[in-house]
Amino acid sequence: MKRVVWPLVLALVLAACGDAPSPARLRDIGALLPPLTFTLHDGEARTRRAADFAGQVVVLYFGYTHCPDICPTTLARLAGLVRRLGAAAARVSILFVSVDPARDTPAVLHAYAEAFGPRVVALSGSQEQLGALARRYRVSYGLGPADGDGQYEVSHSSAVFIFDPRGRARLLATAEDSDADLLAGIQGLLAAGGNERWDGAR
Amino acid sequence: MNSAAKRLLLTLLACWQGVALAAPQVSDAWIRWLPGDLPLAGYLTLHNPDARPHTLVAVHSPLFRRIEIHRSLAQSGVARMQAVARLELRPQGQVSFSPGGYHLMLFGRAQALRQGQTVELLLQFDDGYQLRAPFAVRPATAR
Repeated sequence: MKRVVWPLVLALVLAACGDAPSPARLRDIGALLPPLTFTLHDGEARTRRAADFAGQVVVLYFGYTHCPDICPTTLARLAGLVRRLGAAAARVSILFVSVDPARDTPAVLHAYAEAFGPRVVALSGSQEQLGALARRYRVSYGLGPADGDGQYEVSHSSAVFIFDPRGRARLLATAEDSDADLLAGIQGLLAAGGNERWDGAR
Repeated sequence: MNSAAKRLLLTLLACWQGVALAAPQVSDAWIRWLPGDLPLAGYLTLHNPDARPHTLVAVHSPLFRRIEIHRSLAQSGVARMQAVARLELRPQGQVSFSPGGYHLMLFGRAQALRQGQTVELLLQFDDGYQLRAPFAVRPATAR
């Protein structure tokens, strides 16, 4: 049985109201989505919370490691852009949240994150933890039917959410946005500072 | 060899070369490496120099348990994949398999793959033509 996943219309809605002046040229989601809050685990099976990333620009992306095209393409792009920030790259964390915890064990997450370099942190969690985070950012995902090898596809949001160092949701990017706009968006949030406060959950 | 036999051989050679020239060709073929036994994506550009269409129907390699032709779709903010059973190359046309679009999905490695290595995949067309194409194994971060 195929669980049909209905697409998230957020990206479209946001695109429609994206004409408001925003220096970054990505969709400004500041007024639409709540501050960063989650409890998940990383590739070392350590509990990671949003507040662990206070003071960092967080680039949040949902996916799964058995996704050969879109997920690694997105991560390669994000990791490549962040590398171009030089020393400032240390103040950016790319969080890859796997919505496929059954296959994405901590060991798999660890090896996967490592392949994309030091700024990528691969996370996952229980269905409850993942569901809470997905609902918070109005992201949908779903598991397709398994084939003869037990392989299955996972449909997932292709949006990239960007948070400022205070944990506030600020920008939404998609594959259609240019490298220059994405980089400018991240740089703008780094330059704005605000590292002294944290608006997300502790 | 007498001259008649030589002529026949040359004719056959010319004929064979003509077929080879008109057959589909591959360029820019690479595979994005991922750790463990995660499925991999293969990318390439297929060229059809022929005056008639050619249709890619399967891809094989002893290095992988299964290879499928896929296409990624991003509809209304959701990423999904679609299996493609046949892919027609129009006369003098080309099709790019590139990140976020068409890609080969490679399941089940028979042996470990190294970044920097080159592996050969066999592309099979509907008229029985088979094309051996070398794919470079690039790092996960390749673009």
